Amino acid sequence: MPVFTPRATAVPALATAAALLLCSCSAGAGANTGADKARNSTAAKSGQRLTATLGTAKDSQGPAPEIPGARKGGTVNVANEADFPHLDPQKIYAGERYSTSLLWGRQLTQYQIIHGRPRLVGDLSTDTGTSSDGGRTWTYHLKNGIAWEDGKPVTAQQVKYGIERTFAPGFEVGPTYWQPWLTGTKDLTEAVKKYGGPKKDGDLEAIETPDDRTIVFHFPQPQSDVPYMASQSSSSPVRKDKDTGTGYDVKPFATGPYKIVEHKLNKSLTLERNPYWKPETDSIRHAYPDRFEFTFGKAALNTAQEVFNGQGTGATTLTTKDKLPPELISTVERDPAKRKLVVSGSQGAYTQDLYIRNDRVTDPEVRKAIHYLFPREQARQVLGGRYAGDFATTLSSPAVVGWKKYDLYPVAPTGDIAKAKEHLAKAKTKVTKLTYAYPTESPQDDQVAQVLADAFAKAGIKLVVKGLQPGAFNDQIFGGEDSPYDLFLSTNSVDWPTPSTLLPLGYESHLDAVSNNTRYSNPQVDKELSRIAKIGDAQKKAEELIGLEETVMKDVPLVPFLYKSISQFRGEKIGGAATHPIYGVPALANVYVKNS
Amino acid sequence: MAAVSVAHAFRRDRFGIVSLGVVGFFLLLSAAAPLVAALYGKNPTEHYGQNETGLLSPEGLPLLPNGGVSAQHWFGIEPGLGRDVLTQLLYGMRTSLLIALASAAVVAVIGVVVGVTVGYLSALVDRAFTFVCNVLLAFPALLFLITLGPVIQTRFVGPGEDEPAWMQFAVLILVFSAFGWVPLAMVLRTVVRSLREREFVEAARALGASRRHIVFRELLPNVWAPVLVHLTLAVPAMVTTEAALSFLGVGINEPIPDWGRMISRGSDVFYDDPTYMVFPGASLLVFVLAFNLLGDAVRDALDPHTVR
Repeated sequence: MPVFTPRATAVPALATAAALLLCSCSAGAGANTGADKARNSTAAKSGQRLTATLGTAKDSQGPAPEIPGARKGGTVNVANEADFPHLDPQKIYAGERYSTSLLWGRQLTQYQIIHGRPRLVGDLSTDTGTSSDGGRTWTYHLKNGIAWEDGKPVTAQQVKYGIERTFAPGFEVGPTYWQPWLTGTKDLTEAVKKYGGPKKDGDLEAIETPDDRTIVFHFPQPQSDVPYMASQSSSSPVRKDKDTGTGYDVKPFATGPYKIVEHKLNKSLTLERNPYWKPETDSIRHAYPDRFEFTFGKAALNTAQEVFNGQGTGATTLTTKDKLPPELISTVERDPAKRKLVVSGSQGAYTQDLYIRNDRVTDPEVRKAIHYLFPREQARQVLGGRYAGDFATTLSSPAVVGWKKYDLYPVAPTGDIAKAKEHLAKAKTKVTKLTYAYPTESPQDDQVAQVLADAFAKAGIKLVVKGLQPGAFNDQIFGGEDSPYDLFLSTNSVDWPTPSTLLPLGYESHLDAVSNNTRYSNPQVDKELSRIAKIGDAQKKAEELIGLEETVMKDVPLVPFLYKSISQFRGEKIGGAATHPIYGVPALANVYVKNS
Repeated sequence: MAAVSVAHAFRRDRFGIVSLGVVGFFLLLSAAAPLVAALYGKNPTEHYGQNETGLLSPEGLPLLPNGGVSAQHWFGIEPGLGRDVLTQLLYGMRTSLLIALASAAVVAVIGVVVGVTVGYLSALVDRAFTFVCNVLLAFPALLFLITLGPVIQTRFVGPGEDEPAWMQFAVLILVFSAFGWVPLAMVLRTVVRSLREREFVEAARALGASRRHIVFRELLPNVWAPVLVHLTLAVPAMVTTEAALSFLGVGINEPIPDWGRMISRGSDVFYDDPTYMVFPGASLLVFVLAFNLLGDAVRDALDPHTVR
């Protein structure tokens, strides 16, 4: 028999209810309406023309133009959840690693950033290269006074050796352009049959080094994009005596302003000044701090809390890989002091699009209907609103050379169900069911799937949504010809900001599903592409390809969704942190520690 | 013990009465969920926040304080999709209760039949039973459930098909019952073993009653008390397990409303919108607490030896 009287029981119940109400108090996202104007000014500025221009020999001369207010000295802490999978320059591939490895590695060419605008200039080389013979021959001259971290000079033979390494087994993880270009083959598999790397086949004849500071590339076919490929990490020099194989992947030998003093795998990476780096040879890197201390393993949310609250080393910490955790977006939106610590910008040339398997959804009318009913606004809202990016209408990103805005089938961002139904009615066979696959990486992915299912249902199509393990998703979507899914969202970027790797490497009908994700096939486009492939001039080629892009997009092989933005964060004392317009992460080569 | 005295004992237990009221209220709400939703004018699947302006910020968070609680949406709206929290809760309760009650029914049938039969039968059967029970008790049931979901998906559901709702429910009910009957059967076996030596069973046997008669007519009517107690305590346990599975993403899938998935979503947005976690969390807490107290009260009422 309980001893409580009804009055006594009411008290704890009320207390519990009060406690629940207290802890449930949360300000609405609209609480701070006065800050709306300021909020928009920090909105990621993607969609702006960020096209890289080619710099002259004069632009390539160091030192890099000073950043006003910057000062030398201090230690910058970089915190990321994960270590770099590779540090071997010929294995590095992807924007963030390109950007970070500039601290210790140098390439033939590189992007110089002035007022947020990129310009391709000579890095090791005196200029971005001169071509002759209609683009079949490219010549580079190395600058004077560039040395390794032990003081020995960088030579043309070492650059050649670096590029030769990309043919060797194990280097498939890097970009695969030099290999087919230099051997005149279709792809890497065929290229390595002709030349298997310096250890197996010795000297590669297509690269000539008449003297220590001159390097001449001989390509069997005209190549227009050599200056851009020369800026990729695989165009870095490697010294034969320092090439220790797997050891080199952990601790490469430096040519840049810093050298790696210690690298504990998955724990830390420490950089100190390289005394043999001369600022007058380098128009790209500033090298203000004395040291860089990378730490790996801490969850992004924890790092973010430390950085925003200035705890521990938070004030001098920034991230290059970790993104602003979605959990903190509204906290940051509400607090102007925290908002200014967010580093956001366009994520290089990344675009996110709704891919349609053209071999499964064969009727262009159905694809047009999908274009009209796609709820861009709603899908972007669950992905974090404008933090996710700006609405796209083109296949290529505005960061690409020669980009032109076009909008072939204009539609309201919330979608146009009536228009979609019109097109569905025109379709030869009635479509009642489509399948959508997505990797279950974050809760947002599930929500996007629900948003899509909702919109498709309004147009009378049942959308079957399948969440797959990320590994299974990649295998099924990109691996095989017999993928059972019609639609998927995918985020992609060209390897460098010209259109020459987009259409030719993704929309030719002979390509397999790994490259041609949409299985797009149009004989007219194929014919045009093989004609354009023979053009040796980068600008002309870019213009032709951008022109052809509209022809491709008329067939709606995919639905453009977002020009991606990225938001990261930096400590209060970190200056000069801005998103690199090409690599899409904070450019470490420009940061400094503020005076305090 | 007469039913009248049990009811009388129960009525004197104030906690029992209150918890019975709460449980009854929950049962009524979930049974009448469509009616309540219709009167309230919302449904659990529509994305209100996305289809109407002024509810969600561009980043998908409720514009109004406290998770968007308003006269329109009494419990606020879900961050992201902007679904109505109250109707999600109501329909989510249906999901939980349907699974828990269906599993409890299956558990009761299997547990009673097996427990009573084994308790009455010979030592050989008893030894086999104990072995099976030990195996099942040692079985990592939760891990099994977590791995079973994806296997069923790939084995029985075509890649172009949704996993039908009945299949999601059936799998959970099946596994809950497959492991849930063991404790009940073990309790009943012990009860029956002592009952079968009692005089009234002896008398029936002496009169030449069949085994069937003894089991169903003499023993069964005397075990309903432990069965009732066991089931009232098993239901809340199943509700929490179901919520935990959905929280882990292997329970009931979108778009069927579910408390566990609501709590999981609540943990994603906890920094920005703590209110969203409170409603499903508090509902689950109150519901399970009420059911547990009810179970205690039932046991107290059925067992005159318990003195508080």
